[in-house]
Amino acid sequence: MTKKINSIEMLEKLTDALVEDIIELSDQEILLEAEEHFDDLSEENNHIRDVINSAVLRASKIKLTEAKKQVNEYKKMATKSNVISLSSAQKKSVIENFTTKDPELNQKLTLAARKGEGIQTENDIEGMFEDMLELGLIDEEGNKK
Amino acid sequence: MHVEFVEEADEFWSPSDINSAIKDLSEADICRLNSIAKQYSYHCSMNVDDILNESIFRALSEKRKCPINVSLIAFISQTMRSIAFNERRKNEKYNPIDDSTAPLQDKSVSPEAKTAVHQELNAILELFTNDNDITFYLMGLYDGLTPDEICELGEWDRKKYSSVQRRLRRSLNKHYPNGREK
Repeated sequence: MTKKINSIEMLEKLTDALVEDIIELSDQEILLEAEEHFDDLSEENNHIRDVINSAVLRASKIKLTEAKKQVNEYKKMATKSNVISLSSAQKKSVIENFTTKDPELNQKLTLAARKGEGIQTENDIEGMFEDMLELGLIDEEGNKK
Repeated sequence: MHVEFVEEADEFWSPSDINSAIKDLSEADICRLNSIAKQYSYHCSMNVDDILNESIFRALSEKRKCPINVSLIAFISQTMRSIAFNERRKNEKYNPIDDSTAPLQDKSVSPEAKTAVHQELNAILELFTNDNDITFYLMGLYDGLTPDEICELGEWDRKKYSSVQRRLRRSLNKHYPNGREK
């Protein structure tokens, strides 16, 4: 039994029927129709190819960004998993050993500490330790490279 | 009738297969995609370029999978269908300001949108008052009949059905070269 359809569904059925007809046209028929419709078919087709290519480019860019993000996350995870679990105090000591040998850096950190900034919390220590690892200043055991 | 996808298919085209197939599209394929995009753009408020661009983007984004036995054109066409139908329905959703009477009303489509759709359907029907075959075809379609039911009722064979459908499409394209008013 036929299902009663509402007006928007009627319109959808009509659109489906018209598209179905286009899909059923032979290549020759579709080319003939297009030639009748456009003054310059090759110009129109070039424009459509540009539209398609810009979508391909958009999809590629998004995939590339996602891939970069995944690589960065993987690198971060790999660095973290390589770090021998040093205590926060040990990490702080590694940082202090490093900074005391660099008077300029030490001065900056002292100034920052006075302002209530710099390495104050455990998170600050973790962050600084990871930054030093990433910069290649120390190895995973906290030894200076 | 449109191509229905069976997501449970065993094998699907990979994004790189789709990418290669897009690069290999022939002139006829390009014309066909343009023509299909035009039909779907007539249905909603998006223009031809946007609907085609978005369908290619989605086809490559792996959100939709294309079964290996479905042609690229059918897959992109189905993606355009989904975009266009959702766009039209989204734009015509009824959001009453005074919510107190809402439960008594059909919230799926706004009254203005309903009127507009009726007008669109009637305008198409009126174009063909002198063409009994197209009028019969449209009445069948509007009644939700399947192609087989239309053929049976009109005592048509499939060749006649296809020729009426084609005549309808070509007449509509001539009458509305820039799309139907909504």
